[in-house]
Amino acid sequence: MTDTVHSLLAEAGAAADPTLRRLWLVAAIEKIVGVPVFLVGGAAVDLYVGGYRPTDVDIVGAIRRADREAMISEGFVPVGRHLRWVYPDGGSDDVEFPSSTLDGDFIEVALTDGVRVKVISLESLVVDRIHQATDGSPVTFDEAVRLVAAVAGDADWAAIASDLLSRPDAAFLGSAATARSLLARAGGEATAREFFPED
Amino acid sequence: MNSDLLALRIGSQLRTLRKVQTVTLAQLSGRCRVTVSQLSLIENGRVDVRLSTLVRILGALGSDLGAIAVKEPSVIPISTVLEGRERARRRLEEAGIGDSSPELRLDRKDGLGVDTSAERQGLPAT
Repeated sequence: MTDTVHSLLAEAGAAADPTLRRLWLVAAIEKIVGVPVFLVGGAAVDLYVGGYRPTDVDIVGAIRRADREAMISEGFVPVGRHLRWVYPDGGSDDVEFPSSTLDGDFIEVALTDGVRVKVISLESLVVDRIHQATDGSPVTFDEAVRLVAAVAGDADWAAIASDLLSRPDAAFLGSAATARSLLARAGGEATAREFFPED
Repeated sequence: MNSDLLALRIGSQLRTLRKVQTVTLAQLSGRCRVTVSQLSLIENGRVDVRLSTLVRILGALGSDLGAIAVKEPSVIPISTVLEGRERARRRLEEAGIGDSSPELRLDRKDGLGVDTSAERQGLPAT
């Protein structure tokens, strides 16, 4: 199968699983813009743990105005800050580019032998969600609990703790205390004691 | 080995190391004597960085080669990712944790002054 833009968009349209559909869409977008793009945010959470229903698709990459224009030329529709792709069945995904650079590490998800999508790594995603949860919002805290409870032993907690606690704002934000709290809520008390010990 | 992906991954990790220390590109440039433009290209994986330059940049960040993974990113078949997602789903079910609420997440964004009108269009009618 060739990985032309149109074949990738066709694969997206044919995918019944919304998660797979979004991955094919990201592959198509990378082909259109010609620079590396990374799936992050809620769509990445949904990929790793499911049950999330992202309201948009966050992609980071060094996207220029010409790249947005190229996406529009391929059929994406500007809707506010998003670019919307409408699938043949009437469904749609709204794509947003919240940042030009990836904060963290990434993996490649192979849809086929020749088609790969770059996705923020699970550890970097967990760090991002724990960091967000320091804002005091019950919504972000519950979302972080959900992610942590879901990934449990699949995540590299040594790497997560190292990344999170080495940030200069860690003490100010109380990142360690937040991590302990949400791990306790998620049934990860042992992980909390090992990687986020109290002083 | 895919050198482009390797450069991309090294660059991404360098950027993370720099930002964690809240060091600007200009500041790092002054410390390691690599131009800002070159540092930006390196962080974005647009150039192959010489080993000596990489060591110098890492040294300027108080680090060394052991701090970064000098290898291509892991390639995970989608089937493996979906198996992991299924395990995650079962864990959440056993823990009695339900699905995430897109409405609550959008309400929070509203509270932050973010325009969520486009995103709300995609939600099923309740």
